[in-house]
Amino acid sequence: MKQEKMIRYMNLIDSKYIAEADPANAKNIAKRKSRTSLIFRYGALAASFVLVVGVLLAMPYLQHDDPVFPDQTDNPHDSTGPIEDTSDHSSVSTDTEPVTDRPIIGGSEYCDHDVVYNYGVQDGSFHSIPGTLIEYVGQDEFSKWVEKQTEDMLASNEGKYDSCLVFSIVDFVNDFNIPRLHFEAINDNFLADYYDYNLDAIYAGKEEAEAYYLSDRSQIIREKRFIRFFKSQLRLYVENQDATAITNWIEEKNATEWGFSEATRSHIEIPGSGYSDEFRGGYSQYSIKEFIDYFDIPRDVVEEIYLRCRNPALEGELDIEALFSTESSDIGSNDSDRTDKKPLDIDRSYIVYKADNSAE
Amino acid sequence: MDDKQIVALYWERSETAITETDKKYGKYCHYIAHNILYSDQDAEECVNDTYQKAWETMPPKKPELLSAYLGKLTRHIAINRYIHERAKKRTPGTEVILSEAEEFIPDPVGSDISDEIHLRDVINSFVASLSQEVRVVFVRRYWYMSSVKDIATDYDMTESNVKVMLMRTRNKFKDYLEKEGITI
Repeated sequence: MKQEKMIRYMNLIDSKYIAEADPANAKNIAKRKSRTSLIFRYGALAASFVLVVGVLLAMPYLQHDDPVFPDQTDNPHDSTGPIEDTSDHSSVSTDTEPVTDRPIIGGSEYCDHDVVYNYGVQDGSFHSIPGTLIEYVGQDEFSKWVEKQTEDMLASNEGKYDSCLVFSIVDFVNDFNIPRLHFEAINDNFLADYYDYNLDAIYAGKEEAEAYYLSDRSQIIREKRFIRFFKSQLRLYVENQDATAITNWIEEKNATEWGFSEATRSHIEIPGSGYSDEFRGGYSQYSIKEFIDYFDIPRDVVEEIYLRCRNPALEGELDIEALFSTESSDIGSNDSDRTDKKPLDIDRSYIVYKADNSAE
Repeated sequence: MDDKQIVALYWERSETAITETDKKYGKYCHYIAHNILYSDQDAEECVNDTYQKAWETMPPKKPELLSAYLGKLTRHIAINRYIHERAKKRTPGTEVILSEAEEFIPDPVGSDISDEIHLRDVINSFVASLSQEVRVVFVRRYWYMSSVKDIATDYDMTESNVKVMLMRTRNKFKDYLEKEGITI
C-alpha cells in the first residue's frame, strides 16, 4: 500500500540528510535562518546598512580612479577594501541622506520574483509590502489578511512557485484598494531610491506583475546603484562648497516646484501614513541634469566625479556631453519627452549602452 | 565520547558500547520511536531493540554517521511495531503523516520500480536540490515524523509556514518522481 511505499522511500534518504535534520541541530539552523531573514524581512534596515557600507566602500575611491562598485559576484562582506583617510569626505550631512520608509515586510530569500542583486538588499519587491502601506491599512487588518492568504493557499493546494511568500504586493493593492496616487507618493518619496516597485506592472494585474518580476531586472538595479552613488557624490561636492546649499534647495523646491509653502507643508499628509507629501531630496526625486544645472557644477568637476563612480558592471556610460549640451536631442530624445518622465527615467536617458541593451 | 570511539567499543565487543550509546543517543532514538508509536513504553522497548540490533550489526558495519545509523534502526523497528500494532490500535499522528504522504507517493499498482539504486538516487537528488531550510523541514516531517508544531517551534516558523512549505515540497516531489519515470 501507499503508506508502506512511503516508508520505503523515506528509508532511502541518505544519512547525511538525516543527521542534518537531527532535532538537536534545529536551533543552529534556526539561528542561521533568523540572521539571514532579518536582512530580507526588514529591507529598510538593510538598506540603511548598505548605505553605511556604501559610504565606507566609497571613501577609499574618492582619491582613486578605481571603479567604485565591486563585481556583482563579489561578497559584500569580503570587499570592503582598504579604508584610508576619510577626513575630507566624512562630513555627510544627515540632511542630504536619502529618506527611507518604515521597514518593509516580506521578501523571499529564494523566490524567483525577489532575486537579490545588491549586497543582500532585497531589490525585488513582488513579495514586499512597504511599512507605510501596512500602517495605512492597519497592522491588525494586515495580519488577518496574511493569515487568510495562507489559508487560501493551503485550500487551493497551489504551489506554483517554490519558496514564494503567500502574499504579493499585487494582491495587497487589490485587496485593500490602495490608490495608485498614494502608492506613487510613497514610492517617490521613500522607496524608489532602493526598491523596484514598478507601479505600471503592479497596477496592470498579477500576470503583468509576475512577468515583470520574473524578468531579469539586474540592469535596473545596477542603474539605481550607479545613479544613487553618483548623486551622493554630487551632493557631497555641493555641501563642501556650501553647507546649507542642499537644505536651501529643498526648501526652494518645496516652495515652488512642489507647490507646498512652509506654512502649509506640515498639513499636507498622505492619508493615514503620517508622511508629508513633499520633496525630501531623495535621489529618485530629481534628475542629475537638473541638479547640475541648478548648482551650476562645472563640467570638469562632473567628469572627475564620474570617473570615480563609473561602474563596469553597468555596461553603459553616462553621456556627459549630452548632460551639458543645450540640445537634449543629442541623445535621441527631446525636451517635451523628458518633461513627462520621472527623474529616474531622465537619468536613464543619459546612460548610453554599448549595444543599446538598456533593460527598459 | 565521540562516535568513532563508540563504534570501536562495539567492534571490541565491549558492553560499555551500549551504555555510551544510550548516554549519547538515547533521547534521540526515543524521540524517533515516540513520533511513530506515541507511547513512552513502546518507544522505550523500541530503543532497547535498537541497541540490540546495533550490537548484532557492528561488526561488520562501521557507520560513518552513528546518529543516522541508530536513527534508521530505530525508525525501522518502530515502523514494524507500528504496522503490527495498527490492527489493534491507531496512532493518530502517524496516520496523519502517512496520509499526507499518500498525495505524493505513486501507487504501486501499475508502477515498475525494480531498480532500488535508481530510486535511491532519484530521492536523494531531489532532497539535495532543496534549500537547507526546506530539506530539514521535509526530513523532519517524513523521516523523523515530527509534528508540524514541533517543526515550527524548532525552526522559528509559524505552523502555517510549515504547512505551506510541506505542501509545496510534496507537489514538487510528486512532479520530480514523475519526471524521473516513476509513474503514478
